[in-house]
This record gives sequence, C-alpha cells and structure tokens, in this order.
Amino acid sequence: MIKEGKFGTYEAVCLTSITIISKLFFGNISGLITESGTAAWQVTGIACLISMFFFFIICKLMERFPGQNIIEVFQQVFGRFAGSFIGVLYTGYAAFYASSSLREIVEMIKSYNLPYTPIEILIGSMLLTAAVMCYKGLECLTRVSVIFFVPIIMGMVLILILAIPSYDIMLFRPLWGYGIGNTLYHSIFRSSGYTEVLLLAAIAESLQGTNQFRKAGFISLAISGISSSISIFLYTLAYGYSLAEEKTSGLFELARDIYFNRFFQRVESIFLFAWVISSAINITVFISFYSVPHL
Amino acid sequence: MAGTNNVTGKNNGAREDNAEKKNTFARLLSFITYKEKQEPKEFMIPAANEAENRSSGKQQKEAGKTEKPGKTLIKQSGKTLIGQGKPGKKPTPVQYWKRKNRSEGQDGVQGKTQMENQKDSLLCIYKNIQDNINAIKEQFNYPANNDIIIREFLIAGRIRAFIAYLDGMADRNIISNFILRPLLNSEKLDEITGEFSLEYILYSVIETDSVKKVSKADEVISEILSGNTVVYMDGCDYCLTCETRGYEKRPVDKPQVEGVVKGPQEGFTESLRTNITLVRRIVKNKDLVAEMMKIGDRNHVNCAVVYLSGLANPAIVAEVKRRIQSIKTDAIIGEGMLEQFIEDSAWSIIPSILSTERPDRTSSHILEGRVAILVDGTPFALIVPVTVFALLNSPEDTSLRWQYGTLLRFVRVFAVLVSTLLPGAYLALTNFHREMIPTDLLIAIAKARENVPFPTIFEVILMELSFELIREAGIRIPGIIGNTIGIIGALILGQAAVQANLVSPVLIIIIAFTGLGNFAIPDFNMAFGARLMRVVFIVLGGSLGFYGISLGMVLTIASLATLKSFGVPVLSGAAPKTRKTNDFIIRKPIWQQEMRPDGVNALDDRRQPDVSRKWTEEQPVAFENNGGGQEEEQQNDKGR
Repeated sequence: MIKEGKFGTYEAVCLTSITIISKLFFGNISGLITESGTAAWQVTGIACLISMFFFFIICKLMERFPGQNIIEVFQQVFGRFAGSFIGVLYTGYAAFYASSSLREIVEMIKSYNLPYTPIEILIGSMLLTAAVMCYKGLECLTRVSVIFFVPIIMGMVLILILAIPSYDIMLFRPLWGYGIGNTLYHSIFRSSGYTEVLLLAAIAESLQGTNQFRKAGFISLAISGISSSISIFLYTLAYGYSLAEEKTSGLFELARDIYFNRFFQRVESIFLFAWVISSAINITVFISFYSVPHL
Repeated sequence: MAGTNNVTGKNNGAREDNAEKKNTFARLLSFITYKEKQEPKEFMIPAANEAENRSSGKQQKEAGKTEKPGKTLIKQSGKTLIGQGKPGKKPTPVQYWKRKNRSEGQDGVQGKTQMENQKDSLLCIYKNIQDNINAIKEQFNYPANNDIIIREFLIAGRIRAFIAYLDGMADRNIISNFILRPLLNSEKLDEITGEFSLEYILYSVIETDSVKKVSKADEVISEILSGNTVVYMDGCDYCLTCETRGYEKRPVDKPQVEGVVKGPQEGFTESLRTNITLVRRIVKNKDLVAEMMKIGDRNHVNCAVVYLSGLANPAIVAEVKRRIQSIKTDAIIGEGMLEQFIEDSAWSIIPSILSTERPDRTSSHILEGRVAILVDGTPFALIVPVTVFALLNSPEDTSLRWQYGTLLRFVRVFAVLVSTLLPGAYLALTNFHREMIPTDLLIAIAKARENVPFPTIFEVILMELSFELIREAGIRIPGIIGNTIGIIGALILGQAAVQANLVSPVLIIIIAFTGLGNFAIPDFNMAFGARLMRVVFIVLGGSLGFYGISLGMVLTIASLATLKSFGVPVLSGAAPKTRKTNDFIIRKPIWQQEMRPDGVNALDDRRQPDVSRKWTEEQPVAFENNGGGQEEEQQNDKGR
C-alpha cells in the first residue's frame, strides 16, 4: 500500500547508496591508493565500520528527537542562533561538495569522452538536470534513485566481471600496504567518505520513524562499504598500486581496458550511463540539500 | 371575324419569328460583347451579437406581418420577446456556459438573455396539454427543426394526449405497437367511464418494457434526446417516458487497434449501452455498477463510470465522478476529449489513462479494482488509475502461458527502448563514441557514408520525417491501398534515398528497426509519447553523445516519477516499491497470482487463495473398471 509523503527503507537505501557509490567513479580510488597502497580496500572497509559507529551515535541522537530533521535537532540542542549557524555550516559543506563533484565529473567527461564540447555546456546540462530534479522534489529524487539503483549496481558488477582477464592475483601484495598503522590512520580520516549517510538525518521526517532511519543507514553503509572495498581490491589487482595511483578515473579506466575480441571491446561508453546517472543523482542530492534547507 | 383572326394570327406569327431572330442575334452578339463581370455577393459572417439582433428583427417583421398575437404560446412568446427587447441594444456577448453559470448562480434570472428567460419559462410541465405541446415545440425549435415528432390523439375517444419523440432516434415499431396501439385501442380504457390518471396508463396500458413517470421538464428534454418517447395527457402535470431507443448502430466487431491472436475477438462499439452489456457479459456480478452521467452543456453526452462496488477503492470512484461532473464545456465528443479533461498532467508525454477498445481488457482492470469510463459515441473505454507497466501489457498476456507472456513483455520493454533511444544512440556512437564500434563495422559504416554529403544528424532527421510522412499518409489513404502504399512507399523511398546518396543504408535499417519497435508498443498514446521522446533523444545524442542521453534518461524518469494517475504514481511497483506482485514485467503462472496490484489500494487485495488449484491437494478419482462398467451397462439398459 502506498503512503503519501513518506518513503520506505528500500527507497532510502537506494538514495544513500547511489550517492556514496558514485564516488567510486571519480578520482577517489587513486587518491586512496596513493595514501595506503595495496591496503586501500582495507582502508575503505575499516572506514565504513568507523562511519557505522558514528552513525550509531547519530541514531541515538535522532531517537531523542523523533520526527525532526538534523537541522531542527541542531536548533533544539544548541539554541536558535548557534543551531542555525551549525545548520549553515552543514549546508555550506553540501554546497562545496556539490560544486566540487560537479566540476570533477564534468572535467572527466570532457577529458575522456567529449573533448571538443565546451565545459560550460557540460556543466549547464548537468545543472539543468539537477535543477529540474530539485524542483520536482525529494520524492522524485528518491524514485529516480530507485529506478536506477539496480542498473547502476549491475553496470558496476558487469565491469568488474568483464575485467577478470586483467586481474593479477599477485598484485594484491603486500597485503598490509604501507603498514597497519598507516591503514588505521587513514581509515579514520577516510570515514568521512561515507558522510553522505547524513543525508538520511536531513530527511528524517520523511522516513517512517527512527527504526527505519537506523535500518536504512546501516544497510546503505554496508552496501556502499562492501561494494567500494571489492571494487578497490579488484582495481588494485588490475593495475597494481604503482600504476593505479596514476589513473584519474578508477572504474572508468578499468572499463576502458576490457577486451575480449575485436567485436567486444572498449565498452566504457556503456559504463558512461551508470557513471553520469549516479553522478547526476549525487550532485542533485547535495544541491537540493543546500538550496532547500528542509528538502 | 374568322378571317381577321387568321390575318392577326399570321402577323403575330411573323412578329414572333422576327423576335426570335432578333433574340438569337442578340444572344450571339452577347457572346462577343464586353460585359462587366458581376461578382456574386460575398457572404460575410456577422458577429454573434449582430446575428442575434438580425434574427430577432426578422422574427419581429414576420410576427408583425403574418401572425396574430395570442394565437399560440410560441407566437405569444415571440411577441413578448420582441416587445420586451429594446431595439438596437445588443446583448452582452458572453460565452454560453458563462451565461449558464451566472444564471445558475447568484445573479439568477438577471444574468440570462431574453431568449433564455423565455425558454426557461416554458421549462415546466403544464396541466394544459396545448401549453405542453407549445413548450416542446419551443424547446426543440419547431418548425425549423423537423426531427421532433409530436403526435396528438384522444385516449378512449375523449381525453387529449400526445406523444413526442425524435425521428431517427426512436424505434417507430415500438411506438406504434406498444404505445399508440394500446392507447388508441384499449378496451380497458373504453370501459372506464370516469376520469383516469396517467399513472393508470403507466401500470395497465403501455406495453414497453421500461416506463417511468417524469415531472421535471428538463428530464423530459433529456429523455427525448436520448431516443425515448414521452406521453403527455391533458390535465396531468407530469408525463411518462417510454424506452424506445432505436437508432442505427454498428454491430459488435473485431477490435481495430488491439488485435490479438489468442483471446476474445470482440471490440467495443459506438453504443454506450452495448459497451456496458459487453462488460457485463464478462463480469457477471451484481456489484458491477455503471453510474451514468451527462457531460457537455450543449451535446449532453452520456458517460458511464463502471466499477465493482466493494472492490474498487471508493476514493478513486469519487475522484473520477468529481472530475467528470466538474467539467464545464459545451461539448465532449468521444473519450479522447474526456481523457484530456480529467488527466492529472496535461504536460506529460506519457499518458496517465489507459484507453482500450477491448471489453475483456476493461473487465480485467475492473476486476483488479480499477474504474472504467465509457463515453457514448466512441468504441473505447478509459481505465484509471494505471501505471506505465499496465500500458505495456497486452490483453493477450493473460491468455498465453506464463512463459510466452513474460517473453512478450520483455520484447515490449525492448521495443520501448529501441523506439525511444536507438536513433539517438546511433548518432552518439557515430559522432562521439566511435571507439565502441568494432573496427570492421566502423569501416562498413564509414564506407556506406562516404558518398553521403549530409551530417549524420541531418540524415536521421530526414529519415524520421520520411517515416512519419509515410505513416501518416498510410492512415489517410482510403481503403486497402493505404497499407500497400505505406510499405511500397517506404521500400521505394528508402531504396531511392540510398541510391541518390542522401542517406546511408545503415540508417535505413536503424529507422526501420525503430519504427518496428514503435509499432510493438501496445498502447497507442504511449507509442506517440515514444515518438516524441525519440526526437529529444536524437537531439541529445547528436549534441552530447551518451552523456546527453544519460541526462535525458534521468529527466524522463524524473518526469515520470512525479506523474500520477488518479493518485497512483505511474511508476508504482518499481518506484515507489509496493508489495511484491507476481504479475509485473515477469509474469508468473496464473495460479501464483494470488494478490491484486498493490498500488490501486483495492478493498479486497486477494484475488485467490494461496492454493487456487485445489486438485493438487486432492486424491485423483480412482476409476473402477468393474463397477464403472456395470453402471454404464445399467444406464444403457434404461435408455433402451
């Protein structure tokens, strides 16, 4: 039965997971490998666990303010002025995130696919799409995520499977990368990579209770953590850490190297769909987050 | 005298001959003489208020010249109308429905034109039969309108009465045999010496299957317009309406648009009554309700809201009725117009209402808790609420075994993708993502395009336009040659275009494939939507490659995600997720489809119990050779 104005766990999971996973298509992977070498997949896994711990604390906080979003909670906890100020900081972060993601995706598109297209047109078209989705609202954004969730995940899995001939199992060594200490150190900082889960706190009033908030958060963190960890691990197997840290776009490069025969080759353009769509959702989520305080 | 007469006659004859010669000469001369060409007087349509004034002026003249005041009510009315109206003062040119609304509202009678006031004053049933005759004549614009038949007679030889009906709308045989004959020849009436009422006639004399008492004049008009016959009797301020509808109608035929290989082969007709009957024949349930309502202030078309009471969500039924009843327009001709009046979003490319010409499809939707809307005069039913996935289903799916039905659904989803995205994707591939095309194929495409002077996007647009032209011409060309012209036109045009190096052969294949995909979409409106979206994707693919197509896909899904059909999101089932159904894109065996679609919120969710094939739990009937044989022999003996 459809309940107006609310959305379920599945919708929440799809929205949050796509927002987190889309970062795999950007330059994050190479940065991570630069920091922690072959242990990058461990870093992202541990970072996921740490973010789960922090999310648990947020859950405890939200339980005390049922039916309220995080901005309202800030205002209640810190008072009207300080709460609003923290809310502004929060939305400022969203603005920064949205603009940096937009720039990153558009530059990659320009360098890999559309070198002769002016960047203004690429940015404009992406912004137009985001603006339309913002105008249509959170319900629209969630449903778009639900529709594209399975194709995006399938696209990712397909790329990882088709790239099997490129994998060299020996390249995962040294197992602990630059050392366990380094791995743990970067894991703590990299836990911010899962900050998108806070989106759920911002739309808590649209969820059906605190239980659903908690459930959706943990599931989406688990999905994102596992998929990120596996993707980075396989990516490391394909290139080795020395080469992998030089690649600008992780999974896109992997898709580019797929070659089975003269007919089945260079399928990165199909992969482009998953890349662009997930990025569009990611950017829209953060644009709507800072442009509309309560979505 | 006789001689004089003869001479005079001869002279006359000579004169006539001379006159004829002169006439002939004059006529011949007239052919070669210059004449000023006389232009026929050009007809100009006057403004509405001017025409009304002219018309009233004409009536005034005619009334002054020929009619004596007070002879009949019509003439009286004409005179009164002229007398009250101020000459030269133009009536306010407001639209019909606005006038009507105003008259129904606070302004009351002041808001109406004089003509309307005059007509409304006659809109009641009088006890005096002559007044009633005049009222009917006035309402139906007699004598200008000859279709209204008024037959006066005497009941039992002493009481004045008349019947009125519209010629062509009513069955004359029914009127003659079951209304007039009993009234004129009834022995029962002859035996009654005192007075009797029209009610006595209703219960004891008239022999038609449906007769009812009517005391409102506007209802009388409506009954006559729908083909029924009204019976008036002197001294009664009410009348009887008898069911005599008998206009010409098309018999039930095969569906023209939604043909199937397996399944019923009946389609709706233009008759609302027949269409409701076709549905009732399938849904034999006492709770099947067909609520009739009239729409269109001028054409008063009948419309039926059909649903299963106790199954369809009452909120949906109420919403459908609210939307239909609130329509204020002068005419609704067919379900297509009604659809545009009641749909949720007029800007959406994808329809939010399903239109079908199949009674079986309509019935299956009613049985799922949806509401059907049937309009008199069109062989289509509107189904609400629907989802995009329901638009992709064909009535054949349920007739076929689940594996075949599922396969067909996948084919249709593929058809939608091909129809919408293929030309755009071809443009994106050839313009921006050439690396994806295998080298041999790329060389083949390049060779084929070598002599073509146009850019690929121009080729695609050219071929799309040609295809649309052939398609439209194929529909407009009358008779059997339509299809032939379509196919031959496409072949010849395609061949010639390739030979003339206007387009590449690969593109012909692409466009033909796209066309096939479009034809495979089962819903006509949705196929139109796909055609429009294809143009958008051609532009996006041609300008921004797969990047543009991806953004286009996001925008398309975003627009669909917010589209609702009578409160139900058109993507429900997929987004928002509803309870798992076994009849989505993948169709499981029919005995596993226990639940109705969740999105409709039907009052009864369950279609069948978990174990619908009870025979799987029962023991097979053991056949006993001896016993069975003996029984058979005994029966045969009894028969002998």
